[in-house]
Amino acid sequence: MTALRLTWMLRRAADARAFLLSATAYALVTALLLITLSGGWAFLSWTDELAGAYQMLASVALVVLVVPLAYLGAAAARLSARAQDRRLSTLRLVGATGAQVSGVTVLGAAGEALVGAVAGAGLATALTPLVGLVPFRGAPLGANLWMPAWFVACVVATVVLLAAVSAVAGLRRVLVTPLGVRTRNAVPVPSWIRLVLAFGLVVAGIGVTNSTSAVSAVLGTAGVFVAILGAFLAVLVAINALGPWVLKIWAGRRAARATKPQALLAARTVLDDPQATWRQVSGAAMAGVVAVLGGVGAALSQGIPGDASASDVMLGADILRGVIVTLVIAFAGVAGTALVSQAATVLDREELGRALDAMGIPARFTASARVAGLLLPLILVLLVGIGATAVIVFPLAGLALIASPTTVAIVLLACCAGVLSVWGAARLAGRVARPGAAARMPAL
Amino acid sequence: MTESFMTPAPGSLPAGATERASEVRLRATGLLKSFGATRALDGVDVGVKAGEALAIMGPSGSGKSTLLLTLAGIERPDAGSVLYRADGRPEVDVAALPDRERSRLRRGDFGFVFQQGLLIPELTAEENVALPLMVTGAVRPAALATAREWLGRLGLAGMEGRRLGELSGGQAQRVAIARAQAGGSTVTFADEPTGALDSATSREVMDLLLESTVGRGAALVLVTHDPQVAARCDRTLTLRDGKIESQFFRTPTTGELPVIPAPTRHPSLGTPGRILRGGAL
Ligand SMILES: Nc1ncnc2c1ncn2[C@@H]1O[C@H](COP(=O)(O)OP(=O)(O)OP(=O)(O)O)[C@@H](O)[C@H]1O
Ligand SMILES: [Mg+2]
Repeated sequence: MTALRLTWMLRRAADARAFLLSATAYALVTALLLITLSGGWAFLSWTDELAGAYQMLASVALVVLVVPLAYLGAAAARLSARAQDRRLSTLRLVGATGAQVSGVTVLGAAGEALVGAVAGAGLATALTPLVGLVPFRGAPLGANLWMPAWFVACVVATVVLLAAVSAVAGLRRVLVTPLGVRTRNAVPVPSWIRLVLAFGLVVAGIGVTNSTSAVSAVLGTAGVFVAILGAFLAVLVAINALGPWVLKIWAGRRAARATKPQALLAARTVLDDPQATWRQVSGAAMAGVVAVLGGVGAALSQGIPGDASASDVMLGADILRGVIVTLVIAFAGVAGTALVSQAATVLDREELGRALDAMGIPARFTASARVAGLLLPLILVLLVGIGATAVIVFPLAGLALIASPTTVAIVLLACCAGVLSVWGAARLAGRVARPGAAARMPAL
Repeated sequence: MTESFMTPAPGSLPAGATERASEVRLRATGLLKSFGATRALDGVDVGVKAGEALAIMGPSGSGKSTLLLTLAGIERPDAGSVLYRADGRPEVDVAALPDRERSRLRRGDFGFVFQQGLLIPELTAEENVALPLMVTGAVRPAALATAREWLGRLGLAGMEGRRLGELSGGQAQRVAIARAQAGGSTVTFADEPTGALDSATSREVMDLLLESTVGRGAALVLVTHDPQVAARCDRTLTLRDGKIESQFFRTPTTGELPVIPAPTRHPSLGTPGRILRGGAL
């Protein structure tokens, strides 16, 4: 029997909700990726002498967005692997060959990714006119955003390819471990090497930022851009290395002190797998970095009111807009990751949830613990991102606050809105569970 | 072997059988429950007394789980009532209570043991036991102390800090028993609590389950496919197609057990003194 036919026959074995969820994840990642790329595309269409600065800033935004989008993509792949696990256990029972198992896995994952990516491309196309209303350099982006169809098709194909590749990579693990048995081990302690590495990178980052004038003298303006971009990357890497470790310490203290059962459960959830929580909230750290750097940049370019040239004011306003757009996409990525990861948890825990409900611990209790286990780390990580960056660029941040308090306020408000959107996504994720009465209680 | 313990011996009280609290805890009458065209419960009457262990048997799909869920106030019957009486409180119809009240009743008065333990994997053993107590309003140190005490009683001293992945199936099930008892439940419901265990572990878990429920005067309602497990209970009820097919008492009745009407529709099936696995005659 061909793998294709097997896949088709097994479509019933997989939970329709699991399929929809992974497809949704792929749709979100494709849509956000396309919107981001179309922004970059529009910026590339400029060729005058100011274009370089804009393209440089846009590339910083792209670097920042890589993180939340990569985590969203990874969440999609992980979700689809989970659906595959179920399909594979069915296959095992009917005694499929190794080749059939691989075939079904790859086709299944690629199928989900294809459905999702095409839907995502549709979503991005529908949103492009809206994004086109955003003005840069005094005019709306408009038609500059439209990328050629072949390019969009390439992006879709890449998403599908990546999904298939990660399914193959996941296959190894699945074949080795016996299916159906999921054991949890003790919390792996994030290594101290991370800390040392991160510290080194931060020091290097501060060094580079503080010596831009020296670098500028040697390498010229392009060199400064590269140095700033490098410092920026270093900060991102450092944050990613430190994040899980910070979350672990924080959750450990909260678990020890919690008096409310929800708080205990939320802290234990983070402590159980700080990496998993980090994957869901790290985009907020990046957002914090962008908010501060971008906010400072925007505030300072606008200069002291009445003292700045018209072009400075326009650059400042454009930077602010760019920062807001970047924050919106970053938080959309975080919210998307939260939505699919949390929904996957809810699906995985459906039976446990029903058992707890039977015991008189209602779903709203578990939901509030689940949401708190995501939202508190998110806020923590955002604040750490903002705080750490503000410290690194301390004198500038102070100046920015004086030069343009409204700019700083707008950026901070955007961050708050982002947190709210993630909260909404996490709450929404609870909806995938079948309401109690409609569901079978398999174990009671 | 099955028949010896199942055969009722009216009138003869075994030595040492003390008269425990003989109060009726649960009394269900005329339970009807359908799922679409399936009649899961078709006119079931059953009572459970304090200090009594009731086993529910029957073929797959006969309505055992549905009966358990209905008695526990999780599933609402289409018709019929489930009266529950706690010491010092007026009798309530569990089936008619609003959701919030039923939830509170389950939290405070009932205990549940599931086939797979179903512990919260992030929490330690003691936290799993303490969590329902904390939800009920106990402060954390007190809840943890009670949890440790119960875990010790169930032979899990020293394992309080372990999590689900670090416990064997039997140990996880003992944690679940502790969780069901720590709140001082008056009725414990268990659906195939030994279904996933080997026979030696199953015997151990059954010992502990009986000891920690019936042993302290609480009631136990248990669904099982295993005649050996049912043999440990005071009474075995066999369901078939949502009806009570037969009923057997291990220990003699004293006349105070709730009177359960003999099945009227299939008189030939209900003859006491004969039971077969799966209910086939
Ligand atoms: N939520 C539900 N939705 C639809 N049908 C249900 C539901 N719950 C039970 N049923 C049906 O009601 C009947 C009795 O189910 P129940 O789970 O009580 O059987 P059981 O005796 O516990 O079986 P088993 O030994 O297999 O656990 C079955 O036909 C079952 O399919
Ligand atoms: Mg059942």
